[in-house]
Amino acid sequence: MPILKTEAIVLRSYKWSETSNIVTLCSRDFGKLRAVAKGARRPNSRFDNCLNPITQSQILFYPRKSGGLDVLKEASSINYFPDLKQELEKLAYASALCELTEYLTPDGQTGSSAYYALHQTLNKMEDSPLEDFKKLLWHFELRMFAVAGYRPQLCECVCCGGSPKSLPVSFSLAQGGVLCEKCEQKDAARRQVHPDTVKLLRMLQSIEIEKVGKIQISPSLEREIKAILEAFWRYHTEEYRKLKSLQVLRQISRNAGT
Amino acid sequence: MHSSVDPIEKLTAAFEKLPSIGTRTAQRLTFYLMKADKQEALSLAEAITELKEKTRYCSICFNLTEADPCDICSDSSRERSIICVIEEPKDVLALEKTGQYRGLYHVLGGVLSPLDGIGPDNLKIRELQERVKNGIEEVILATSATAEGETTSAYLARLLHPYSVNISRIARGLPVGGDLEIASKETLIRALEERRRVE
Repeated sequence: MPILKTEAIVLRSYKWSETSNIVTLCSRDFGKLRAVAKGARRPNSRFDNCLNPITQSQILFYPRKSGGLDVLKEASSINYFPDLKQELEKLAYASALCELTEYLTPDGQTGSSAYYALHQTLNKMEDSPLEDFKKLLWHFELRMFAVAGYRPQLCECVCCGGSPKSLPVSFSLAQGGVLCEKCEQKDAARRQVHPDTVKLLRMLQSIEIEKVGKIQISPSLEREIKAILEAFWRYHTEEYRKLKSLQVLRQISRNAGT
Repeated sequence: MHSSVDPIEKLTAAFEKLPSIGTRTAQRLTFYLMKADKQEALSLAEAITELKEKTRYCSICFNLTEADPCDICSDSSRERSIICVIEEPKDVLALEKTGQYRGLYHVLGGVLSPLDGIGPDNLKIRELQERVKNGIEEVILATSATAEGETTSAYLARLLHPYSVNISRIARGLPVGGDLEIASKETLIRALEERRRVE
């Protein structure tokens, strides 16, 4: 059986036995992997801290035979993202990226888009002030929607390709994008959103990550972007409510408000 | 016939609920107890009953105890101005084995872990704040050197900073008996950062 080598970011690590862990990884060359790391829980483990969540490591592994788990042979860390682990709120945002990747990356998909999106966003978060994390999370969500095949259509009408002119703009969760005046009756559950919200979402969808921090968003538009992305998530995947990192973020902001 | 195997199925199902135990292991344990001496099986049942009936959490430090407060909190010979903050009750056992620490403990009940949905409200953090207000001089943060352990320590250090206490973090670096060549970059960075003068 050949040994495979790749770079990967650890999304999650579970205790499997007294001495071993099961890790979920987002790899550059083989998509999402689930692998057993034998001996990872031993004090002098050869894996050391390379398999902690939110760590970029180079890994060597034996691929699974059929339906089982891959087996990790070696790992050496490339980036531990230490700055993201020094503050609870930063860790919660970084964890949300990992959870989103885990849920939105289909098993067996070998593309590297998810890996690069996660890698770039974690790197950018390390260099960014906490105020920018929310925007980086939304930018990442929009990228991951595309990876998962849910990319919202924000430029032309999702039904006919026409240009939406009404104010506010109609947004269809079911169709996955904005609707023009002619087509808006096709979805009775459509949502009305401010045109600036659509403009900002469009910008977040197309802008390079380096420029995300420069986008200015008013608190009312922030609320609308958050609400529409959440609704979009909820409509297309059951997993949204399972995102525990976002629950912790809500807990932190609630405590900060009291 | 079915009723005769019902206790076996019931016990197997009960074992299966335990961590790291699958169906086969659960069956092995059940059949071991079937063949074992009756007294051995009964003493296991008794130990489980005692565990649930007599063990509780100490109302001061949240360690597991038979009496409340626990033996450590009610021991007047211990250094009462130092609190060592740990994750789980089993960490008390590990630190007590060293015989090097004579202060009190505070068991958080876990670590801050957004991936598992554990935030500040899910741990005994408010209770720690209350204890620190009352005559504590030093707080030792002894959470694990994992990402979550580090974040928890950093969070607690910031939270306790306004109180007039010395806050320290247990040293991180090479484990005793560990090879330098297999240590990760981060472990070596910590080891170098936290090096100390050799007298």
